[in-house]
Amino acid sequence: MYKIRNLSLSFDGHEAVRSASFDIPRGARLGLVGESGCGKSITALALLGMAPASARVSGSIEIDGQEMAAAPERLWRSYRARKVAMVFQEPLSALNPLKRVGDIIAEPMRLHLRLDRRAARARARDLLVEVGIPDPEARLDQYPHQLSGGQRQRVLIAAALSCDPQLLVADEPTTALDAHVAGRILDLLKRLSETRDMALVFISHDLEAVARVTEEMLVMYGGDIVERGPTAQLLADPRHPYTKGLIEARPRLDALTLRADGAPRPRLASIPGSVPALADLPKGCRFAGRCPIERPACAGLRPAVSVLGPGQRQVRCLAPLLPAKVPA
Amino acid sequence: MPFLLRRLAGLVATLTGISLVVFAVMNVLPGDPALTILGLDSTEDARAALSAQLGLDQPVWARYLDWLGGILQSDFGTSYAYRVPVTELILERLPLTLTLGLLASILTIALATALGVFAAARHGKAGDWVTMILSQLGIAIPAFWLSILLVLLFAVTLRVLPSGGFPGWAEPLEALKSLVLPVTALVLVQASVLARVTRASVLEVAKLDYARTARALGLSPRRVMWGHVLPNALVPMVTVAGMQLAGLITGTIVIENVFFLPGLGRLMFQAINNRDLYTVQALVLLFASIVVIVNFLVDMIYLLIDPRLREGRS
Ligand SMILES: Nc1ncnc2c1ncn2[C@@H]1O[C@H](COP(=O)(O)OP(=O)(O)OP(=O)(O)O)[C@@H](O)[C@H]1O
Ligand SMILES: [Mg+2]
Repeated sequence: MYKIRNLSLSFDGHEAVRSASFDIPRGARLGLVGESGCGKSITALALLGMAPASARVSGSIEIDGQEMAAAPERLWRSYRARKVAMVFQEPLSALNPLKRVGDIIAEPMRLHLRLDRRAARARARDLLVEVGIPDPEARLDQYPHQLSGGQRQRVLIAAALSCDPQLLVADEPTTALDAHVAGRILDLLKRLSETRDMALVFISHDLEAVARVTEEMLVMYGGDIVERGPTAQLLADPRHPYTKGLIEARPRLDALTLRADGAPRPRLASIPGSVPALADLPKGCRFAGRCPIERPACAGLRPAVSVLGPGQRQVRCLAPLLPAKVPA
Repeated sequence: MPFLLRRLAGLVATLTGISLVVFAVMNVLPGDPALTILGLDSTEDARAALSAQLGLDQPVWARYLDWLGGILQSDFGTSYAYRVPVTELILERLPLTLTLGLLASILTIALATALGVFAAARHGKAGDWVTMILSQLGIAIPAFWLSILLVLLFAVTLRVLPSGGFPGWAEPLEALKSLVLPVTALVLVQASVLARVTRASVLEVAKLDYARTARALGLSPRRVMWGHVLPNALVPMVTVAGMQLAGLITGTIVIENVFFLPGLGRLMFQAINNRDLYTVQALVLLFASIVVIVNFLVDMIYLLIDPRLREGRS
């Protein structure tokens, strides 16, 4: 359905996404993880033709056989909501505070599907039911500020689903929510993808969330997709040193419990240093400089993608880690 | 709606307060109306008699109550200078000023919105720059100087519009023609300010997430602008537009005098020169009331625009 080839996005000549290639088959659930600034959001926006105006886009984005990378805004507009939709991180600020919930959800349907007011409202009501909002009839006439955070995110999802897109892009949809509510939104996204046979690109910092929702994942660092594969396999057996660092650095319950003196325990492991600014990223492997197993060649030479084993696992590293467990 | 009642009560209280201040200020100003009316060569006795006739020998509080009681029956007293009821003077001149003010307000809002949205939509490009430079000029140029330039160009050089005066409403087309330059002078200044506010406010809102959400749902830039961005940019615009109305009133006084338009502004100017106490009092009260009432309307418009502000107020 989506075929992305050598997609690059650069600002002032610095590549924030460097020749990314991946497919999004129908109904697939794809996770996109990586530290802040690694290019997740701009990649996601590029899937809607909404990369920042200052970004230079090159490469190919094919949607159902149609080449879209250089497509005019007009064509993109007709694809948004109908082929691809997006939900954003901050559910309160992502909803127009002056519009009623019903109108927010109905607007794309009235525009793209040419539904009349009554039909659009009826469908908006059904969508609220589908995303699990109780008492939908009353909600239609409420304003975003009258809803809880979780309900706002559900409304945003309902608006995104309104024209039955084949792909939903969710950019850190639960970061602003508390853990319990976030978990239910994750389950909702997964269920919607299954029942609607709708592809999902799920962006998150949170590996647990990615594991809960997706089947396949891409790990990004400094604009490169450094590793990809089935989510469970990749988390259990990372082959790129960055992925491994990410997994080891994630907050765990034992890291969150307090020490006897009341202070939080220090994290056991974290990736040394921080992500350099776009202009300071190494020319070769982006991870050079922070990598624990770096070799002299790494900073100057961009590693090729190696395909691992029989599966769909790929890693962009000169010296990928060995399998965690020796295959029987 | 008790909230509305409370606001209305507040409005009445404010207006009463204004009437008190206006009356107090006008009655401590130097200058004896009897002297002004009768002239310097009048006798002491004649002036005393006139003062008594005008009620000026009464204590101040009695005169205030008398004046206030009159106002409630739309009697603003009698003009010393013209010897006719002030109400009559005002009603005679009101249509001209009202037309001038309303035309200027409507055109200011329309022009400022169009220019502000235009500039914001072309943020950083030539159209934006040109609009901003022109509006900067519009703000920097005093209205009366702009009026003179307009007169020189359109009345003296091109001879397409009258340089001043007002032919009366009997000939509507001529009447409107004589308002073109005054309205233009008023609008260019006010719209320059409001256009900049509009641009800034629209740019601010356009950065917000819901504008991006609307775009991600396939709405055209025009729909995003007029349906989502502009409504959210309205609150600061309405605030400034409300404040500008006060500027418009002082502007009207200046402009009416520059263009010799027999409206309330010109009446005000003449009444002050003539120490025409009741007329000045009535006009100051009227202008102040307009400002207060507009502020009240602005508050009501906020509630209309933003459901979050309506919360807990009804
Ligand atoms: N409009 C822009 N102009 C210039 N640089 C930009 C712009 N948008 C993003 N970038 C740069 O592109 C890189 C990737 O940004 P992006 O927002 O995609 O990161 P991200 O992975 O989504 O991070 P986060 O987890 O914080 O959301 C960053 O280095 C950022 O500085
Ligand atoms: Mg992001």
